[in-house]
Amino acid sequence: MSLWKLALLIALFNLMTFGNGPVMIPLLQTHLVEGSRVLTQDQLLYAFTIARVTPGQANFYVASIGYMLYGMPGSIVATLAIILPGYIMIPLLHGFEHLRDSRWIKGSRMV
Amino acid sequence: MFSIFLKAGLAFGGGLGILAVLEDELVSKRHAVSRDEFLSIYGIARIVPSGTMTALAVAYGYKFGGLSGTVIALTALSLPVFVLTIALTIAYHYLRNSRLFDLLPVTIMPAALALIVVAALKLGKDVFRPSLELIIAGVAFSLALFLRLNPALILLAGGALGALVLQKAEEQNDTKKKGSEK
Repeated sequence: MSLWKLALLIALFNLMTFGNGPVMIPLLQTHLVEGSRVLTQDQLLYAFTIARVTPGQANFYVASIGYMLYGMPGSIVATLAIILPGYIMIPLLHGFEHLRDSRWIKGSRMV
Repeated sequence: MFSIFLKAGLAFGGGLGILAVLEDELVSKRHAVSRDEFLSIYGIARIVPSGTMTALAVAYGYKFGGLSGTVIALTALSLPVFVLTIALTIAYHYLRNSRLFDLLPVTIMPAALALIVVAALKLGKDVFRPSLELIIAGVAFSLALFLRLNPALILLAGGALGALVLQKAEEQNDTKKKGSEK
């Protein structure tokens, strides 16, 4: 498994799952532990636990997994893969503001 | 901006801890956003398929500083957890060669299991009542456990099935409403 395949896998799982980090665990387990066997079960659980007990976002265990597999570049790529889908927020915000404004317009017309 | 999100990034307890800090800073102290708007943005962030807090950082970064704002907010929010997680991962490699490593299975692994179970229960809280969703969840769980199907396939199938079922239920509600209006 190459670094880019890992990044793609994480980004894909991230997009597929709602409800944040823990949902991705079984997916990662199937693909990384049972599938390509690049990671042990213990490593996966360790990564999940340390991301959970440290402050900040709990889904940063992918950074830990990235580091275990490819060192520093791996952790950075994995982190980007988990962060970048958040940018879907920007078009959604625009849509929301548009909707709200149009509602206000409707409301004012009714008055 | 950087300081607010750095503070948020240092909050313990995952998503809700971060949310509490953000609410305190943006709504209560600085009055940068109204409570209604804060809740609306949180609602949108929750439906984004990715970390909710990541989505929030993007939202507020964009709102107050455009695209460069999103980079600042995300960096500040992620820096503490990134550094600490990597540090502990490096520690794992050192631990592996020491006698302390033998302690890991009896200390950290049960903790990890507990954390995963708690996370699952939290997520499932809304589903654990007699409903169609619970049936779908039960079927998905047994498929994963007994047939060892790929969870990715189960997720996709569950999502598609859930969407269909919910749509039907909504249509029924609509027709019922129409019926009662008549």
